[in-house]
Amino acid sequence: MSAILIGTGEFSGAVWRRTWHPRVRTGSSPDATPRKARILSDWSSCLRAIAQKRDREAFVLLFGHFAPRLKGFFLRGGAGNGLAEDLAQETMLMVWRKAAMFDPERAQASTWIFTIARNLRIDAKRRERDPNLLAEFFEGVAEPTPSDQLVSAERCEALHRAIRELPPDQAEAIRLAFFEDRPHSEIATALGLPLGTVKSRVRLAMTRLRALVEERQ
Amino acid sequence: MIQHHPEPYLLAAYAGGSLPRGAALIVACHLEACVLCRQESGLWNCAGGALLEDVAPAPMSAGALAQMLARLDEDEPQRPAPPSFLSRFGIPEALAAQKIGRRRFVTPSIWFAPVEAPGEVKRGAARTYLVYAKADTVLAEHSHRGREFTHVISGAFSDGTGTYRAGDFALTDDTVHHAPGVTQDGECLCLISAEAPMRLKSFPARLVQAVTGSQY
Ligand SMILES: [Zn+2]
Repeated sequence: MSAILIGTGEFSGAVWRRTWHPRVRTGSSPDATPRKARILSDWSSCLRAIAQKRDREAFVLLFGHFAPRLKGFFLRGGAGNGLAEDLAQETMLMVWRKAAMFDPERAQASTWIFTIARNLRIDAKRRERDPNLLAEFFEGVAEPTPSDQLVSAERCEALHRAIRELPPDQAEAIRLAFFEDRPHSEIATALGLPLGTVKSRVRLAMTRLRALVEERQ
Repeated sequence: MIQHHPEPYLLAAYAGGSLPRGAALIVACHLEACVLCRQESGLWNCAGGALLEDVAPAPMSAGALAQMLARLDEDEPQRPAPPSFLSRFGIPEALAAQKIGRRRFVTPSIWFAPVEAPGEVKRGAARTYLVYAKADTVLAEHSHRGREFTHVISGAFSDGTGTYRAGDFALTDDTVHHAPGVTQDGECLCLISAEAPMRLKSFPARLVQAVTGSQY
């Protein structure tokens, strides 16, 4: 299962941390919404088609949309190009296998896929510390659990809109909490802020998000 | 009723994937037990979904899709069944998905079992482990190297900072000196993850000392 991963050679030493780039910018990518996606109307329908009919066409659509974003997510977390691509693939393989666990009433497709990617990232960091564990790469923690789905799709959509309207410093606090694979103490150093300030910004951003979601209901 | 929760910044770090694996496992177990924190982290997950939609896409390599499609029919790895010594406890899903090693009795009333990839256990270092103790067991006063995350699976323990019951989350750091004790009403099973690796060789000794009450 991990043959591809071993082949990349990305996992030597502390590559994951040391190649951390705060602003990974990649070239433009083909990102037109496929026609069938519009017919299926949303990514949740693709997931349902995979769960019910093992629909490969739906999977190809999902892959086209999410794989480059997942790769972007892992790159931003500090993974090298090869590892980011492998992790994007592993995430999509998990999406294929676990699609039946996705409940469109309780989560948005992008949220559900994000939680899988997040779990893989947690696992990948551990392997990075210890290359001898490669053979057991994607096991265990990466499985989606029911606790990852709780907020309704509508509420989540409201939140998505809210995030896009946040003041820049609060949006940055959220991005830091998510994409920067560093402890809060390091973030504090990088920003020249006391640790308490970083923690309270994350807290403030959370409060603001919650308020925005509630306003819209 | 759950009384001890992870701080909001820990939930954010968990949702974003920046907690160490063991700590993430502890938080995941807490989330299964705690609807309050589940709601909070659900919002963070949504935020993650939004950021995933908005992140700059990075083109996949030319053969990526073909490679992916070829893998769809691969057999799915089976998750190992949890060991039978845990069958009488209701263990969280997130823990059931892990590899749990053999339990080792330190005394007739205390055992521990590593929750870690075998490679890590073999080299004698475990960061994450289950600890079980019967009622009325008191550990010697001790302090911690680095942070230590705890999830109470069953029963309860107390120390100077409070009583922790099933579902509760506890975080101690190197400023905490405590002598945790299992309460009288029953046994206690905890999942613990320490930032500094716990040496398995010294672990039993430490607990024996703890049980006999000698300082270390
Ligand atoms: Zn809680």
